[in-house]
Amino acid sequence: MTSSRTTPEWVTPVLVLAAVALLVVLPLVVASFYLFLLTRILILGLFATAFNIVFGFGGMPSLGHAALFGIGGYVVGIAVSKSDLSFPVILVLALLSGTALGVVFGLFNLRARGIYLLLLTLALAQAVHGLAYQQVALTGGDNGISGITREGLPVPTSAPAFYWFTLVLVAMSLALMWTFMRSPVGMVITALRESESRLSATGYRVGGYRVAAFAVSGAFSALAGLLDTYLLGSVSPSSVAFLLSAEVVVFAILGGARYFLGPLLGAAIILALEFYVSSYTTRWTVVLGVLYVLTALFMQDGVLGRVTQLSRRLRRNNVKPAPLETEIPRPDEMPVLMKPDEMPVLMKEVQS
Amino acid sequence: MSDVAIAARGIQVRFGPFVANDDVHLEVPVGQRRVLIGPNGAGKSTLFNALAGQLRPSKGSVELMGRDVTKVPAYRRARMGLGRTFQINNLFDGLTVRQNVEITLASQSSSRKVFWRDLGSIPGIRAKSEKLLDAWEFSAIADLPVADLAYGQQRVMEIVLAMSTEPHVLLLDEPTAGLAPVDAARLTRLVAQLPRDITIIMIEHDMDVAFALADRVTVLHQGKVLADDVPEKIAVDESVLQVYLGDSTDA
Repeated sequence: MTSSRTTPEWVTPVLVLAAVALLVVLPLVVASFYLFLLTRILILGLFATAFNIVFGFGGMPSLGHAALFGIGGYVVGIAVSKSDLSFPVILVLALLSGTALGVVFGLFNLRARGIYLLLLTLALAQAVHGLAYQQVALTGGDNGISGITREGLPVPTSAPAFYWFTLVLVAMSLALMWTFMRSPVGMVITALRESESRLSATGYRVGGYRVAAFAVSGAFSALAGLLDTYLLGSVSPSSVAFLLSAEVVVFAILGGARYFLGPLLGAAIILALEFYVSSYTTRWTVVLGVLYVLTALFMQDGVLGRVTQLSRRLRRNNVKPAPLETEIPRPDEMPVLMKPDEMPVLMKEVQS
Repeated sequence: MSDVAIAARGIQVRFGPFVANDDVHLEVPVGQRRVLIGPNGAGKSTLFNALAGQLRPSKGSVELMGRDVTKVPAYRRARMGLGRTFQINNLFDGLTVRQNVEITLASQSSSRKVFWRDLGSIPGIRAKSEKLLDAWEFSAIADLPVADLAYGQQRVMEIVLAMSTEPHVLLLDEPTAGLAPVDAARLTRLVAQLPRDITIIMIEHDMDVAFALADRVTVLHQGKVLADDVPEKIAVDESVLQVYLGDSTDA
């Protein structure tokens, strides 16, 4: 790698700071409906990022993540309508139930891979959906629980205040997940996607990491569900429904499931697009379908994958690439005698 | 006796009606270099999978450092000091060379449970990985994804990862598979230069390589041990020649 090919070190922090500053001042400049949209993007972006720990990083396709999201919402709904628990308690309860359900998901799926994992997670989520639908006394059944106010929150009830509250929680969650994914446990979860057999031959008990991925993902999904319920003021079976599980998969794939911020970007693109398209036509799902087909055809690694590829190509045009291919040296270049301290000479020769 | 590093005692592995390994006995003393040869389908890789714990034999037992490990899962055998490579490259392709090494290093201690700090920031890990990458001359390409490496480099990575855990017993499943002769010769020299105190079992197709490296050679044929002797004897063994060169009455 030559230095001219890498961007200066200060660029990323400056970009992040600029983005954060922009997000912070937005409520002062945009109309209230856009503020609702922005808050929703943050919340579903958090959900998609949490989902992607399992999906894009862990390589475990889950089609039941709405259950992990919705359980956070129902904890809020039930707590607010049936008790007067304070917000910190509700928050802890939501995180704990999300983690617990995540562990259940992980344990049930220890032996399932690929399409079977997809079906098993779907079945589990449908069971949760059934519970939400049938336990009418607790969940309000089909109608769900409405009239949930933001009065218990430690912030004013205004829309901008809730936006900032959400922004802080989402930013903290993203920072925590980012740290987690770079830690040994997070790296092993990423390595699950690459090769489980290599991991176990190295000394890792693979199952534990699969469960850990679902548990962490469940905790942050439930947090997103909690925020969503406070935003909408209600929670209903649609929060645990199949459609949401499928949507979050599309968020991740469209934005770029191999990138930490890809799913958040995907959520932003789809929600913003949905908002604009819906003002012209009621057939939003058709547009979504076409978008999905286009992504599958032209952007397998999502928007971020495409962007990375393009920027790499641009750089390649500017700088000559370093040769990477093996060049097999002529026999007369081969060393005849070898001392022990020259041990692995192979690489040097392969690279020359 | 713990002088035996790894042993297979009467191992049978069946896949449905097909018997891949039948009554295989193998005993490798500490520090020995054993080469496993045999024609395609002889059951060499199956035996490796049984030894390393990827497969559980239907009969017989596996012994590692004097302990019966037949029912011990692969990850525990790895922690007991068993390292292995795969015949088909089995690396963390999407991750960088450095990440591959550091994940492997973290498996060796309680660091494997750390979830609150960067993998690279864990005391000792970065220093160790730098040292390894330097020793194996991967430093210049440490931050490339493994998928971008040349095939030969990936074959070496297999050995680097297996060696990162400082194993007592190393199983090398055809390290030179798919390499051009020149590269294969070089990789063989790398294997020859590995520390002598590591017990090595290596699967190899090339008889010359096998005889050059081996202290002792085991020949598998149709899932069974056909011969088990020093290279000089194997080279002139009638039954082995017959398996490799065909029955003279067939010709």
